[in-house]
Formats: sequence, C-alpha cells, structure tokens
Amino acid sequence: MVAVSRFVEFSATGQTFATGTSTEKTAHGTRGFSRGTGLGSGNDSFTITLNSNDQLAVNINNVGPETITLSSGTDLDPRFVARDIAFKLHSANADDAFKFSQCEWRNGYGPTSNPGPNDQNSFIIWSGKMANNGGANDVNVTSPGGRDARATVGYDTVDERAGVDFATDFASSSFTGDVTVSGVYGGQLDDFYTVQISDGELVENATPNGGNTYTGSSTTDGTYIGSADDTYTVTIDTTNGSTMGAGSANVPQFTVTDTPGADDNANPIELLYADHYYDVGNLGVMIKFSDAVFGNGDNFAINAFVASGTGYPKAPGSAQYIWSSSLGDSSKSIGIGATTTQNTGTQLGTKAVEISWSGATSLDLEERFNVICRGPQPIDSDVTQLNFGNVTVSTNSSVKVVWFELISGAVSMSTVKFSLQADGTFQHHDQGDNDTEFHYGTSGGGNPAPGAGPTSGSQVEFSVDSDGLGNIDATDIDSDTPPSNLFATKADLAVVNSADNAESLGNFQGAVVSDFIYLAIKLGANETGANSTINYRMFFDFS
Amino acid sequence: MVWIGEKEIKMRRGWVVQYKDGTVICEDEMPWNKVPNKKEIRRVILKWEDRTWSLDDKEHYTVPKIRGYVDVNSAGVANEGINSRTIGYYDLEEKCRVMVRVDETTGRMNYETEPF
Repeated sequence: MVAVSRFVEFSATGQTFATGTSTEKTAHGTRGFSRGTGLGSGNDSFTITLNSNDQLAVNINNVGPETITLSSGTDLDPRFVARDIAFKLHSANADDAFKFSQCEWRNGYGPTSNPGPNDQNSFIIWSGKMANNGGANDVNVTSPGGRDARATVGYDTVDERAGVDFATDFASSSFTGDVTVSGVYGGQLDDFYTVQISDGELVENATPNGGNTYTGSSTTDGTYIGSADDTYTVTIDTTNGSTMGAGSANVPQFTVTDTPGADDNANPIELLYADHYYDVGNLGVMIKFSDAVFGNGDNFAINAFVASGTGYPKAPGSAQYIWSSSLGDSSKSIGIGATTTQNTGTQLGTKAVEISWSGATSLDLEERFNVICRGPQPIDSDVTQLNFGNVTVSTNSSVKVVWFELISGAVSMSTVKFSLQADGTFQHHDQGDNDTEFHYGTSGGGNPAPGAGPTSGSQVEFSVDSDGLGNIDATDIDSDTPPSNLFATKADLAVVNSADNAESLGNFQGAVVSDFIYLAIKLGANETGANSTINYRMFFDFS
Repeated sequence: MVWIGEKEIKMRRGWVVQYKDGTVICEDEMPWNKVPNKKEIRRVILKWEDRTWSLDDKEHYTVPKIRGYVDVNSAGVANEGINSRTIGYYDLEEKCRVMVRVDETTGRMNYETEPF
C-alpha cells in the first residue's frame, strides 16, 4: 500500500488544557510565532530521515532552546508534520511557553495584528503564551547541530514576531479587570479561540458569484479584526488545476481583493485540501471549500464587519461577546450569536471551556481575549500492539485508546471503519455462555459526542474527568447505547470480514486522522487459557 | 503483458496516467500528488493484472482512491492490504464524481457515482 499509516495510543485518563496564559494578564494579548518562509511551490510533503535531518532547536519566550526530534518518513503530510512538531514541543519543556505551544500548516497568520509578507502555505510555530514580554515572547528556530531539519521544513528562512500586548492590539481599550478561563477542554486537537466584544457577528457567509462553475459548498469563519467594515473577494485561478487534493503546483489558487480596506493579497495561495480553512487576508477571515470543480475566475464575496453595539464601553454583565477558533468552532457556526459577559463562566466554544470577566471595569467594542486549548498528548506514537494485560474472568480490562492516522502518501481519508477481524484463541465469544465481550466506543472531531453540558452546541471529542462526565472506562462502552460523552458504542464487536459490517468512524474535516477508538475486553466466566490473540481491523478509503 | 503507449506496465495493479504527448506515469513511480501537469493528462487507466479500464479525455479527473485495511492486535503482528481501487472523473453536468471501482481480489469492476 502506498500510503503509510499508524495507530497512535492515548491514555484514557489523558489531560487536556484550556488556558489564557500570558506574560500580561490571563487571556490578554496575542501569541508570538515563527513562520518558516523557506518553502516554495511543490513543497507540500516532507522527507525526514532518521539521524540525518530530523531535529529542530526551538526557543520560545526565552525558554530553551529545546531540541526536538521529528518523526521520520518519506513524503510526510504537512498536517501530520505540524501535529508531530506540536506534540514534541509540548513535552520538550514544562514551561507554559512550550506546554501550550502549537504548530500549524496554514497560509495566513490568523487573527493577529502583525501580519507579515509571506502568506504561502507554511509551518507556523506559536508561542504557548500571549503578549509581548518586552519583545521576548517570540519563537526562534535554530540549528540543533548535525541533524538540522530547518531547510526541510522551511525554517532556513523565517518570519518571527513577538506577541502583541492587550492595550496595543487595537485602537482603544478600557478593560482593566481580570479574565478567568475555566473548564477542561473536550477537544481532540489543539485549537486557539479568540473572543471579541461585539453584539453581532463579524464574518458573513460567502456569496458565490452567480456565474461560478463551482457548485460545492463554501464556509466562512474567523474573527475579523479590521478597523472598518470590509468586503473581500476571493478569486480562483485554475491555471494549475481545477480540483483540490491533486498536490502542489496542480491545484487551484486564490487571490484576495477587498474594498474599501487594504487587506488584499495578490500572491496566489494554493487550495491544497478540501474542507481545510484558508486565511482570507491577514485580519482573521477564513474560508474552506468542499471537494468540487472550480472554474477559472470563480469568485466569492465575503462581508466582514467591525464589532458592533451601542452604549459601549459596558460593564461585564452588559457587554456581549462572540467567539471563533482556528478549527472553525465558533458562535457563528453554531448560530448562537452574541453571549452576555458575566462574572461567572459562560460559553467559550462547544467543548466545555468557559470564560468570565471580573473587576470594577468596562469592556469596549473590539477588545479581544485569547484562549489556547490543548488536546490529549499521545503516550505511544507508533503502536503495533494492543496488550490488555492480565484480565480476570467476568471482569473488564482497562480501556485502550487509539486513533488511526495516515502520515504520507494520501491527502484525504474517508469511509473510515473499525472492526474485530478475529477473536483468536478466545473460546467463549458469542457462545451464549456468559460470553467474552469486545467493547468498543468512539468520539472525536469527525463525530463528536453530544456531551452533557448546558451550553449551545455542546460536544465532546475527548472525554476528560473535569467536564463532569468522567473519563471513559470499560463500563462506558459495555452497552450499545452510548453515554453522552461518546458518539457510538458497541458492547460486543462481532467478528466481521468486510468493511460493510464494520463500525463507522469519523475523521475531522476529511483530514488524515481518525476519531478516538476506545477498546476493552470483558472475559467470559468460562474463559480459560492465556495470551489469547485477537485482531482489530481498520478499513479506510484514502486518496 | 500490458502496454500503455510505448511503455510496458510491469506494475501488477494500480493507476496509470497517459499525457497528451504520450508520456506515461504509473502508481509505483510516485504518489498522485507528485504527478506533474495534471491538466495535460489525456487518460487515466486502472490496471488489474492483465485487465485495464480507461477513462479518456475527461476534463477533470478525481484523485484515485484505495480502500484499504490495517490491523492492530494483541500479538503485535502488523497486517495491511487493499480491498479495492478506484479512478474517476468529475461530471459537471450531473454534479457527481463517476468512479470505476475494481475489487482487489476478484478484479470485478463496478461504476459508482458520488454527488458533490
């Protein structure tokens, strides 16, 4: 098989985080970053060779440098490489600058006030802390010595910027109080949320030109941070290709014009992947497209608005806010509009995180607060064996948690399924005699669980203890009816031989990583013997 | 023995592209996202042993897909394989992808459509 895949193991009691950690006050300021600007056309896969070009030395906010070793492989997918860099940074140093750092493969800077000149697809490493810190809160990628990966991933030239302080992030500010971020993030992947004080949403849906060839769906999101209302026009160029997924130099590109603003971008940006957000300009607007054919000159108009409301500044309790995230989790996407700020926690995102404001102070339009969310960290990144250990008859094993990912040779994954292919040497599976059962459950970014929270659009991708639902244990997956923190469960997987009869799994935005799979075994009362071997099989389409 | 243009296709199974100038590239030479100049492709062919299915002169070809499987088990014995392969094209009039799917075991071909 051309594509290279692997299973990644997580702990069922793995931690996730939501933090406003900042060199100023909590949730104040923007993150520093380093973008690798050394990539050119055609650089959408990366060959990293063990002990040769597999290391980066990274200093964040004057912490480090820490040397990280990247996973090696041929023609690695950039979204995988970004995820790998982030995992390695998280564990490289316990300081928040590393612990909450992130790495993305993207074309823009997102909602920051300091856009730079390079807006091609590239890797960006973000500081785990917000604000400027006297210019120190940036990210420096330097030589690790002899195993330098910088040129491979575009960090032979860089654009490095320190974060921006709260008060200098926008024209005026009035808030002098404190922000509290609470709750435990229930997401599968790292994400970054921006809260903006406004009574209304900032980014409208895209309006396709009536003459467009493209008949798929476009979705907009983001937090617009411009100083005046603006209308963007995204124009497609199909000189190199008409459909996404065909590889760099063979896909459609887009340019951006805007009026009356000055956030245009005449540099063509490649639409490498379907269902993947791209930045429109550098002021926070994003768009993604489903898989369909573009025509040359197809264009899409997007209205973006400055924060709106009357009577501002207003105290917490009166001022309102909207929110959005890098992954597209937003008040717009779930259609709830603005939420009133409170001294007690109110909704930020759909994954159990809350935010509150305190102090005798007021909030002004456009004021923004940022929250970093970190998904669970793997405990083993290339799993070839699932050993449930010693299990006593009539009891459940511990729960194993894995996701499945393609790391090279494919740009999308679909129709992902999971099955028990063989029950091996077990003698009492489906025998009607206090049987052995193979429990299964799933949830994740593709198919989130509904959760139990009171908030709109509540969902759980990875269940953590502090969300009030508890971690997943074997009793959560011993029924065909899932609890609220799982999308689907099966008390006992039957042995099946085809994908048609396997259990369906989600994968977020058509990307190359599956939702979480939870597995446990309950040994039947009559089961005897040791070292029984079973085989799980993952089915998937990839292209 | 299968020849596409002037090239003998030694690869047992997989996709083959033939350009307007006659150049031929096979799946075992590079992944699809590295195949250059896709706008110049004249034919996309799916080969299964000595059988071939060809989609000719389509304006927009889809990315070829593989339906595969990978195992994980309690013994640490990795196993992987392919169930079927597809090639296809976008039909703008019908707003669908037309796919040729060939079963990896039997070589049996089916047409499938997916709306977009």
